[in-house]
Amino acid sequence: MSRWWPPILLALVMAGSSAFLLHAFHRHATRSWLSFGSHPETLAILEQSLEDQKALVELDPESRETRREHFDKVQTLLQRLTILEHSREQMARRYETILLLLFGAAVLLTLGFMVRRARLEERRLERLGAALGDLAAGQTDLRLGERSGDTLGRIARMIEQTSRRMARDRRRLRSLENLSAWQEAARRHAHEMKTPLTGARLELERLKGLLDEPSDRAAEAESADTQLHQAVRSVRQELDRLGKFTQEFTSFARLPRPSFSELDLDAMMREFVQVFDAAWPSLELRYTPGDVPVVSADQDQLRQVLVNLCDNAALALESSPPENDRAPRVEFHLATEGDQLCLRVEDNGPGVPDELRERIFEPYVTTRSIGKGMGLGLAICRKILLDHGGDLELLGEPGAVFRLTLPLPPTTR
Amino acid sequence: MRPAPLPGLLLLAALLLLPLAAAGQEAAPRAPTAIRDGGGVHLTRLPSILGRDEVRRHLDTGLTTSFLFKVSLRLPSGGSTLKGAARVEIRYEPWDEVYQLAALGLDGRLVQHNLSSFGDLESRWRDLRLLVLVPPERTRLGVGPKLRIDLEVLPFSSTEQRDTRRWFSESLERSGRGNAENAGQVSEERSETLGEVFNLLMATSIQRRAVVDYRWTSPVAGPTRSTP
Repeated sequence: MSRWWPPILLALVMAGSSAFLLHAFHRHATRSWLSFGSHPETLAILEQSLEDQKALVELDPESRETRREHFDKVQTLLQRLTILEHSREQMARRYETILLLLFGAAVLLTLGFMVRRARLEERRLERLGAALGDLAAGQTDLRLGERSGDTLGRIARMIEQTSRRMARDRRRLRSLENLSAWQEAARRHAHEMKTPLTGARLELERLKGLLDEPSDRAAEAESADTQLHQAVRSVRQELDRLGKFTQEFTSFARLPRPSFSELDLDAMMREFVQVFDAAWPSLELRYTPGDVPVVSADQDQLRQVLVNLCDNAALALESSPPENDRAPRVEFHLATEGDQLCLRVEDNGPGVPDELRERIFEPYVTTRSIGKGMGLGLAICRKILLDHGGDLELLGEPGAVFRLTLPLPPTTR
Repeated sequence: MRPAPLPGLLLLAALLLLPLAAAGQEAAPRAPTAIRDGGGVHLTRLPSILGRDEVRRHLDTGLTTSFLFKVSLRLPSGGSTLKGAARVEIRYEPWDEVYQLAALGLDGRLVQHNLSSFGDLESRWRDLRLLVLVPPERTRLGVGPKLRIDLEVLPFSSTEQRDTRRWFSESLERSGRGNAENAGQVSEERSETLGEVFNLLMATSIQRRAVVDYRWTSPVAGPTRSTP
């Protein structure tokens, strides 16, 4: 409100000065105007007229009534002017007061209009500021509803146009990203399916060759039998590989809802580090315990998340070992932060490339080469945490630092 | 040299200027005589104010000059105050060149006189007997009660005021209509209403005010032989 005072004070000073000048002018003008009627010359003429009427009667007694009538009229006018003269000061003051009141009302109306207009423009500016904030925060397709043709209206329409353009670009980008993701997925699917199918086809052709050329000799027959069994085993292996591939999809598509039960995460982590230490011989698992309450969670699903993260870390550290001959390791830190429980999972590997950080939790996004993983693991992990009411986030460098969050029970917050 | 003390100089100057100032002003008029008679209080021997400049110049205008007497008497018991009033109106008729005097007391009796000269008017004025106060029955006025008397001189009557207001208002209206017609404008209702409000405000500023007033305190004398 303080920023309104300078213009209001300025307006009041200007209004005061104008009112003073007007007052001074009208004081003079009004007094003069009212003085016309009671001017000594006017009064003298009227008084002379009275005398004349009387004199005329003496000259012409028959016109007495007419003269008397004229006399009375002039006398009445003279009396009225005398009364006006008597009330001159009061009338002048009243006239000036009316003028000043009218002027004051005009000034107040102008001030009111200015303040109202300024407030409206301030509100419009606030709306524009909020819209720009929304735009900066990534919101698109903004509707400000400004129809006026002034500068603020033009700015508002420009913001709307920009947000529409951003929305269109974002849709195009998303569509391109989807297309790219589908291309990548198709490539990986084709490869994953083509490899076992090619192996199986080659083995089947070998089998056909063995069946088309039967051997009479016992030694050759025994060798052919061995090769037959080997080919069947190979085909079965390739089919198993194909089955495993489809199973991975099935598990992603039919990820079960978590089965909640009370879970002491600290105890689970101690057990996990102890039991799974041997699962990744190249990795050292370290756990920093925290004083955390019991939460409601699905223990199997959380363990699946941890296994997945450790798998990723092991593969990454295998291809890029840590510098200075340090041992590859994964560290777990458990703590509470506000109204949630946080498990920080941190490895000393190369970390996630910058270009993938934004999309690392999307399906089919992976750092691995084709044939070494579908890029569904982190997507599944995040889905599990989201189903628990928490989240899985990728934090900053160095290494890959993930943060798992789970909501604390209301009573422990 | 020791300077003269300032208060002393001021006192000396005041003593020197006082007679000059007194000479420039007319002596204050004496108070009317208040007489208790016939169950009421009358004012008689009214002061000779008609010839005083501040009054005389209003008497010959042809307007009705009103002399409004207002009296109050504080009762000794209980501290309550009795109030009363009387009115005298004087109008000079310029055609016939007579002064018309009308006196109205608290009893509602109107006394009228036509006087051909100012001397007769003054004489009649002095001899007027106005009933200004009628105390309730069995009211004791006490010993030597003091009557407070206020006299206001109004230069014209309320009828003349009303007539001038109407005339002034009509003149303004005529003037407004004339301006509108000259400008070739069709007068709108709104501007007419505003104009009427303005005219009314201006016309009501014509209001009679006392041109001079006097105030006396006079003892209430016992009954005397009434003046004819």
